[in-house]
Amino acid sequence: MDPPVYVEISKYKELTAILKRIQAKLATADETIAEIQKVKAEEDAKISEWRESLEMIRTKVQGVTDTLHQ
Amino acid sequence: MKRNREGMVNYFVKVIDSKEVRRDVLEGSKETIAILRTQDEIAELRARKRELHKRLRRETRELSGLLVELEAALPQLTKKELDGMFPKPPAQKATKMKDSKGKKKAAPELPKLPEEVETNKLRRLESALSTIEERLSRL
Repeated sequence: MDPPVYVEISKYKELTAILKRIQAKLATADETIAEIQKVKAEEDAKISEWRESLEMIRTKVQGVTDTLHQ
Repeated sequence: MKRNREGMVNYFVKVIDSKEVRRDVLEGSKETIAILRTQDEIAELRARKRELHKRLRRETRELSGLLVELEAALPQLTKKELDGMFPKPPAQKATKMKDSKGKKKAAPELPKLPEEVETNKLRRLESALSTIEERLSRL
């Protein structure tokens, strides 16, 4: 374990202010990540819709194929 | 027999339910339009995601700058250096301090308290930062 160091009161106030700014920045970054996750989830949902539409087209084309081969 | 322009014989296939065939084709077309629309929406979402990534990169750079600032503001005074700054009290006073142990403890421990608070805050910040990194890697 490193030996302890001692903090001047003036420096301590400065450090506290920087720490507050860091905490605020961390909170903002956290919000941004949450927003990215939300957008990503929306994108995934759209891709699922896309797949469903393709599946629907496949069914319709199969219907036409079946009718023509009757 | 009916012939086409190339002179070939035309053959016809009987379609029993022509309405159903038309319906299937039209519905298929409708779905392709839905896909194209979804593609546009996905493109918009990706643009939004790119913007958010840029924002996060900027925020992380600012955070990194703040951490550098914090590191620079951190004092590096060891106990030895501190002792050098404040000469030891005369021997008489030291004896007095030994007599009253309760009073002895209260005075010199005052500067240690902010350091402990500081260390805890730093640990909390480091932990929060690693959480963000972990979440980012999952994206």
